[in-house]
Amino acid sequence: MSEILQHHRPRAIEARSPGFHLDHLGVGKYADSLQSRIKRMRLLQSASVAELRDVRHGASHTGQSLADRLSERLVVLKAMCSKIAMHLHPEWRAELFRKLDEMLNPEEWDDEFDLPSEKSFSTFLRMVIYLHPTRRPSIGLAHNGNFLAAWRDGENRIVIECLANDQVRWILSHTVEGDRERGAGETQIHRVPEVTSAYDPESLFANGHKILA
Amino acid sequence: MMERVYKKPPIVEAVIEFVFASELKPEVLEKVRQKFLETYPLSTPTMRMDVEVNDQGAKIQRSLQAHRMTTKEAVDTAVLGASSLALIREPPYCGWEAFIERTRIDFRLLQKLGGVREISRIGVRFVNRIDIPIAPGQPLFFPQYIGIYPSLPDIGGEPLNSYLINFDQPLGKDGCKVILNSGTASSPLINHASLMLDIDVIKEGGIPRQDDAVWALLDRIRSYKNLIFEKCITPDSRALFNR
Repeated sequence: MSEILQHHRPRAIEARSPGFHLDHLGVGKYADSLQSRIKRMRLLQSASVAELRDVRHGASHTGQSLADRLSERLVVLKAMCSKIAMHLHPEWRAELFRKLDEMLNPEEWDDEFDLPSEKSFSTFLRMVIYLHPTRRPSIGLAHNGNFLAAWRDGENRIVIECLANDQVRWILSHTVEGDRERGAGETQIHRVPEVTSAYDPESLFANGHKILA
Repeated sequence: MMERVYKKPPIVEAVIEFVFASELKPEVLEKVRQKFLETYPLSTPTMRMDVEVNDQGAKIQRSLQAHRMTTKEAVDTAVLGASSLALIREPPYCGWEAFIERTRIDFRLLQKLGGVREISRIGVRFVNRIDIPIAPGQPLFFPQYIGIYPSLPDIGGEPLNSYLINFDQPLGKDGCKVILNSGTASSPLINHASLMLDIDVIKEGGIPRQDDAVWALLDRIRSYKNLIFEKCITPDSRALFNR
């Protein structure tokens, strides 16, 4: 039994539980010192993973210029990519970085838009690895800073808005024997294949290109 | 032992660290930082805060601990302190040759501007995360993926939620020791469980002063680290790194 681990579905990067139960109010000095030691061990062990888990929206940067805020956010998004870079095809990662550079270019930036959301980007990255599409999505940004991923195959297309905490909003249009069908919904990433299956989305996600993730 | 190269190495952090026996003067440290900015343009000071509380109140002292400097791509970092230098690579890991070459360049730059100092500690630390696909609710038999895990008496109950192991052991080679941490970790991926394997091989004292000997020592430390890594993983985890 000791060699078996219970696996619970991990929640979004920013909201997952710490995994180790340490804090307990009723502790004596020995228990307290042990807890401090375990905390120090954990910090040494996995600072980078702890950072991933703690992805949160950045604080307001009222004193900073727009260029500084965009540059800072760009670094945060790229650092998030690096945590799972081993699961991304190098070419796709390079393309994603180019796209981020382009999207967060201060000269092209539209003041009407919110800064890209780290929470949404976390959902986007987890979604791309989970869905394992073989066709690269077009990537965009909504006014509210959420990331959009779109796949098109002729007249058929799906647009997925990545919300916080692994939640996604999807809109799909599909033509069957000349009849146009549309579907939309909001769900968790792991339910996307199931809720869109009636629209046969495989042709959107796959076209024989190199794998992305 | 033949070196194994993995298609998707599980490395989440690779670190080479030097600790020096003496400190750089603040103005020299600043000069080095200015030069490092050419490679690592994003620089953040890490401050140390000491709080002393007594009957009269609290006294807070802040002092600079190090400069954490990162490249624009956010994968390479240099942590520059008055008496230390750490070079960090985050994924994607591009291999030891590229990493050690960058370390050489930065180390020599530090020596050029700050002078040659005695090294009191040298270390190579690789933090690995093994991401294992698993359906929610399905138990994970972790010896299938890792060779270091807790052995518990049968106390009944359900499968473990988490564990953490830490030890340090002299290696009997080059006066090095390994500090190893391993345990469960939150996985960044959906329908995955993750296990951490953090291997830190260090040598304290008796570090050669000659440049060539330092790099040869680092190569050997790296080979000890690799050997430990290979001993700690299993054919199933190797298969995951090559998928």
